[in-house]
Amino acid sequence: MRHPAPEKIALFAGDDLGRWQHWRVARHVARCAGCRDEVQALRVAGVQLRELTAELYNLPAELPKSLNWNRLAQEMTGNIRVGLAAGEAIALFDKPSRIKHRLGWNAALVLLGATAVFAVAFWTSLPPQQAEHLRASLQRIRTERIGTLVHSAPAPASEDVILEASSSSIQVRENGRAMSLIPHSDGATVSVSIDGSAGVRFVDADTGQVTTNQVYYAQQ
Amino acid sequence: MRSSSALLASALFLVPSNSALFGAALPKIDLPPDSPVVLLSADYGESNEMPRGGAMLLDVHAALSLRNTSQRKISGITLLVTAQDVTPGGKGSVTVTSLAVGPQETFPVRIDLRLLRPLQASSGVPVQISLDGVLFDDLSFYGPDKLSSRRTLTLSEWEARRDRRYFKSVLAAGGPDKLRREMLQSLTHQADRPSLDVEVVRGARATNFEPEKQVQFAFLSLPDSPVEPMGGMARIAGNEARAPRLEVKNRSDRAIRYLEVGWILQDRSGREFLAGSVPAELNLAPGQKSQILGDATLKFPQLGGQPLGIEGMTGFVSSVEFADGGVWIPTRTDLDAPRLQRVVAASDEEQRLAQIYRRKGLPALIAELNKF
Repeated sequence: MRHPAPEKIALFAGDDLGRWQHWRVARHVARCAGCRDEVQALRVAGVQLRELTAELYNLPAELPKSLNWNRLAQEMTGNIRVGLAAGEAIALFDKPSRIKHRLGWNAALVLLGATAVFAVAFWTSLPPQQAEHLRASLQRIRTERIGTLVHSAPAPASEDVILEASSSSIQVRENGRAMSLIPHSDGATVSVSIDGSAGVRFVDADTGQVTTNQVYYAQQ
Repeated sequence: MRSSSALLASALFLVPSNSALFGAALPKIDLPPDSPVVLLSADYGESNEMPRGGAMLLDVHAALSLRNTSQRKISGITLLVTAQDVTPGGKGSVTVTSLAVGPQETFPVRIDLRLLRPLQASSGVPVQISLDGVLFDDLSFYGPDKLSSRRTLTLSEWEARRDRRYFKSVLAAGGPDKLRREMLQSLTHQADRPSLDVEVVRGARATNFEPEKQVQFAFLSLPDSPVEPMGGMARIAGNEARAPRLEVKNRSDRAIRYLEVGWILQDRSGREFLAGSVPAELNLAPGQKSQILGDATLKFPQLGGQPLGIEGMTGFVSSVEFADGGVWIPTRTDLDAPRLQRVVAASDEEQRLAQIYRRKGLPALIAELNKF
């Protein structure tokens, strides 16, 4: 269990804490016998002090009549507050990392939560192909930065020219531009060659001729 | 009235303009002066261009009519298609095989092309069409052959002759009924054959991040093949296959200058697909061994909506070209082996004959076979 600082216990005993702090310390004191005893002791000391003050106040002649005990008490209380505030300030100065850390963690948790919600919403709203592409890109970045995966390498620079073959078209794709050859038939046969060509073969619906559309890398 | 005019104006504003192609936007067709074919006409009837986002989409539908001006019968032709301003790193071709175009006869070539280019692209000719090669029925060749069209057309012609011989023998031995059964079986096989979409990425480096593994090739033995595959492997990562390495031996008594190995992939559920081919230009003397190294990555995006997980590979020798110009292709018996029959596509000629049977019936098919 974490106990309130002694100065807070003292201020609580004197009923001098703010509402929020008062509630927190009261909650602790209700469950902690040690702190409860300390509060009790402080309160008793406070009562004794007030009784002693009264006796002093009633003393004749030895003390100046002009002494304003109420004002003195206020000044003392003020000094105590200033002292406590200064102590807190020094404590803050002594343990900056801890306070900042706590604030940082809170902010980080909030940020992390918001990011997670955004990421999940974004991911689920993506079409599967785009999601897969994004996943691959993130993995690529991770590998480049951390380098933990083996047997993986960044895509070669020459990947900017891609040949694509499906039964509905073949395509050369390059920097967002594309040239496609489209079979004039259903039931086309796809073929590719590892030397850098892709093709689709079909019987032309109009002419009945066997036609093969192919795409190649330009250097070939 | 006023509101309906406003609606019409709004509609005209919202619907992208779809305009016909004129002048410089049309393909430029360039045939050499001594070409054995001349262009009679070019019809671009349904061609158009329309903006799409920040780009311009050109749909070119060209119906070319060519005339054979040579004295020989044309068996095949390849036209080279380039779009220098759009894809300088790539080019295309349109090849028509299984032709039998006599001297002075005309024949059509259809090119359906789509270009996606920036709106700010230069206003020059977007597409150039030129002749890469013509194969004649005596297997002689004309053309610059930048795309190795001579070899492609010759191999296709050999397959066509093999299949015509086969179907003629079926007709002679079993009559029209047997030929009909063969055609129905061929059509069923063409419809059932599994097909994959493929991406070819240049350079033999993986582009995805699944763990990579080396997978050994198994080989289908074709008894008459002049080349014996000795072993091989490729790198597999998920749905990518790359860097195939094969060792082959010339077991014939003729030198070999080109060979091609068919590449069958097996997925996790045991299904097999003909993924592609591994070609090699080499100089392989009789009895000599050589290694073939592939330098590209094949990516198989999806199969029926599911990513393809590659588990195994099988190779078979699919064609050989000898140094003396002769070629070897698998026999019909070789191709009837169950594993090959499942994955290897019917030849150009078999597809053409099957379509004649499907559209025009058995008499038309028999008449076509009797032309040769």
